[in-house]
Amino acid sequence: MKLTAKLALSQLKANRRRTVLTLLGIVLSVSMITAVFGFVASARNAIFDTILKGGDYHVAYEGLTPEQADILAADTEFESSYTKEAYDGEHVALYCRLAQPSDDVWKQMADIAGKYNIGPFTSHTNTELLMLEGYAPDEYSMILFSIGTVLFLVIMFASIIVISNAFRVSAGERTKQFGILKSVGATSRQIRSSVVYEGLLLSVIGIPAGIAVGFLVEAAGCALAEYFFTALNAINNNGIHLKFTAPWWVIAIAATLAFVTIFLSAYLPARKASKIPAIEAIRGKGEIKLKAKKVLAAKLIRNLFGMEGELAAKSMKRSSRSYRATVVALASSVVLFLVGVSFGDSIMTSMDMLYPGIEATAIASVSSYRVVDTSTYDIEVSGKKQDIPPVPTSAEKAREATEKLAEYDKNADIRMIGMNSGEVMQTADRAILNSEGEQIDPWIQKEAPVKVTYILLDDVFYAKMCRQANAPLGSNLLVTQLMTRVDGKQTIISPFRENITEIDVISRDFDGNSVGSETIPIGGYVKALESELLWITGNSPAIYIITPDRGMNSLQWLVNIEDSAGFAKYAKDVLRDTVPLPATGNLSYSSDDIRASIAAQQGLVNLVMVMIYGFIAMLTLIGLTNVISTISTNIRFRRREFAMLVSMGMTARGIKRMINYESLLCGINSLLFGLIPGLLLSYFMYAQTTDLANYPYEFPFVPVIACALGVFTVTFITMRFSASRVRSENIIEAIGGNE
Amino acid sequence: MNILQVENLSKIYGKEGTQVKALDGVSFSVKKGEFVAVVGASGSGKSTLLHLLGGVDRPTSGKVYVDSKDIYSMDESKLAIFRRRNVGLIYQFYNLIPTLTVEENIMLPRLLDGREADKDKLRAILETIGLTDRRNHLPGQLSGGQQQRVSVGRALINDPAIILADEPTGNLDSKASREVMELLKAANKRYNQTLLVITHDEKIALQADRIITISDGRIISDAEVR
Repeated sequence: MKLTAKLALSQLKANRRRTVLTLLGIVLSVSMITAVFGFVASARNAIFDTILKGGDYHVAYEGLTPEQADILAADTEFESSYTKEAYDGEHVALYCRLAQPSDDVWKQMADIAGKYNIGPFTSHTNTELLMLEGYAPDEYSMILFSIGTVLFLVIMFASIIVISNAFRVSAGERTKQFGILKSVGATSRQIRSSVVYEGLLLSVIGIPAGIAVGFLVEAAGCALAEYFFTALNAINNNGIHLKFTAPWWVIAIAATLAFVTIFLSAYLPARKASKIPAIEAIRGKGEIKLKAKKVLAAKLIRNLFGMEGELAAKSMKRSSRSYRATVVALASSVVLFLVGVSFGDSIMTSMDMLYPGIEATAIASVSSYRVVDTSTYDIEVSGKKQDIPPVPTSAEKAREATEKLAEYDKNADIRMIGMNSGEVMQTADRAILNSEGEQIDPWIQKEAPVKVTYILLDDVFYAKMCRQANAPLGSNLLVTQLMTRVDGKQTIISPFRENITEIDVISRDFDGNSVGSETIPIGGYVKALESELLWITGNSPAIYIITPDRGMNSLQWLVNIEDSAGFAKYAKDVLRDTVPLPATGNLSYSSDDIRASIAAQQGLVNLVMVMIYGFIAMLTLIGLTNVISTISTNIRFRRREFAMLVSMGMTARGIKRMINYESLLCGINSLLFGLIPGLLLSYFMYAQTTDLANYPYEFPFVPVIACALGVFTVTFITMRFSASRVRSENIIEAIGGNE
Repeated sequence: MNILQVENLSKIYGKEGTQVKALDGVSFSVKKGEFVAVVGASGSGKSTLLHLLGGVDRPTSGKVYVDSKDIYSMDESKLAIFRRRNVGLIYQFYNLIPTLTVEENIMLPRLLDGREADKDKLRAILETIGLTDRRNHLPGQLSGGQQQRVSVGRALINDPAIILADEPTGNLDSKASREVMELLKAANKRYNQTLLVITHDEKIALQADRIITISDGRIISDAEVR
């Protein structure tokens, strides 16, 4: 073995603690990169598998005659196509790949069919495949791409910091050793080559170990995903199956990144040592340059925190370099945490907006619809439409039904929602809308009035809404914040003018003629997104008024109950008894056990949650390793200083207080450096997801507070722990030891 | 009047079987204003003695009276307070706080005691150690001799009952050694400062009033310098 290689090996052996910490850092960051990219790879495979199982097509026309299918298939806008015979044996379905899918695939389909006057037909699109191939009309893939880029950068940043910090904590020690080597005649070249060997040795052990651990994590994650998808796969034969995969590019990315970082981090102290005279390197000069900076308000600090506080402030201010590694470690953990949490938050919020739902295992409803009597429906002859109007169920009956339903299980969570929509035509004038109100479709024409929908809620939910609106019970509440799609994006709008105190609602007949009007006083306002009303108002903005005692055409009970199957049976009878069929008009009853489909949805949500929290946990773990190693090294270096203070008569309490103040200052510093970029990145993540779903940015108070608490706790505990170990050593040893 | 009284002081390191007697029944006393040198070979127990006198270690048996107070009857925090008021320690490696300036290092024992800076005293000490124009420098910006002079200044600031110096010139060249010793002697003469210096440098020992020689943890000679 060459001398330099031998030297490197002996260095690693001699500093076992340091070597272990460094290796731990390398393994952690390599495994994180491997696991995350491994997941990406297997998720991609799984999604492609699932989608291609459904067929390799973009759009499908159904209900065509074979002749029509032939004509359409020959169109040049299609790249390829195939047909399938329908069940009736007469019609066929045509599955096509478009050469160039447009932003509005539906329109494109209709246009192509229109060229040949083909119709009517039913159609559907293979949205997932279009999305995956980058033709998503709602820019899904672009968003995934930019979020992916941010995550990639964050992960890279994190692993670089972990590895370089593992080296940085020992940079001073290493510079000194290189100085000693130089003093016994090692050339800079020899020192450098010993560093190269050291890096190589660490890489040879750390990188494969990290990759192995990373793939283990990926395999565990895949197994976990399979578990969460069980329910979904049970009701869907095109289920998602995440299979473990270990592609070479994942290994390549992880290994390259780690190797370059290891190499640079090991090399920098060596370069520094080769630049300064040997004796200075040995003395540790040029390692930490202290500056006799004036500490601002030293007097004030002394008065407030005593001389311990003053000492701490001076130590922080003047040897800020020795704290840099700790501050960088803490600050980067803060950044990682904020990015992780805001990533999770934006995913959850946009999922809420895209798939608004309510936790329920059973659902029951009573609805009455306007029935147009088709036998007399003859516009040519009478000019009038004969119809049977819907029969509203009174608010009292609705409440009675809710109570009876609740009797089945005292622990059940029941929510009732009643609506008077479409069937009865109630409108209000556009005058109450502001410019965002443009997004609300007119009832008939642009300048025409807007549809009014009344909502009746169960007592608990209604009381909650009143509290939110700060209005007395019995008030009518206007839903002022709604959601709609604007240019393909889910967007939150506030379409109403301010200070609406009443709304004139006009009832109309089928032709739009006014048949009566009333003035509804408005007692308060609620917002759809905050108040779980999104589930009701969905993507159709209109004037929604929550009323306490109006009869409703359609009533729905969402029930979260243990025995959902039994409840479904029970509800059917209860509803027929409580809300009997009226003498004229119609009423339809339904009650279903929806546990299975909810479980499937919940499985997906759970998986996303687990992934996100796993990601955050991993980033936090990495941050912690960083922080603990830098702080304990820093304190170890200062044991002489502590011992000296003790020998000069500082009490144990005084030392403790000094360390507390130092932790506090260190924490404040780290928060300053961590929160700003962290918040900027979190805003960036938010801005990216708004391409998918527009919602207002919320300052992440809770994560920021969590960060602050975490930073202070970790610094305090680690500092106190390391310092207590220093104090329990004999102070004489510490003082007497050579520099 | 005896400012320091040592009675039958012993210190044993290690557990049974591997015990090392660093000090073995040492007794002597030092009068106020006396300049005593403790000499002995490396490992003779002289540093252990100094640490016991300074109250930074605890003896296995025996008593130490400083200014007639039994220092090992005090608990840790009382001892810490006693130390900062009555003992000035000087070490071979200066042991200055690297983040404090010359001025702040000198004032540290006073600050530790929660007392305000005595500006006149500080000025006088800076003058004495000859570092007035460097009072705002950090230890890292000073030479070894200058740093040791700062630690002498630090030992002097509280007018301690006794100054204990452990090889104060052990790390210095001869010129710096001379300067530091002159400084200590001046304090001894001018302020009648009691001084106990551990050294293995004969030239330094001969400057003292009295030389105590230690070997294998025992005093083998205790003689006035003529």
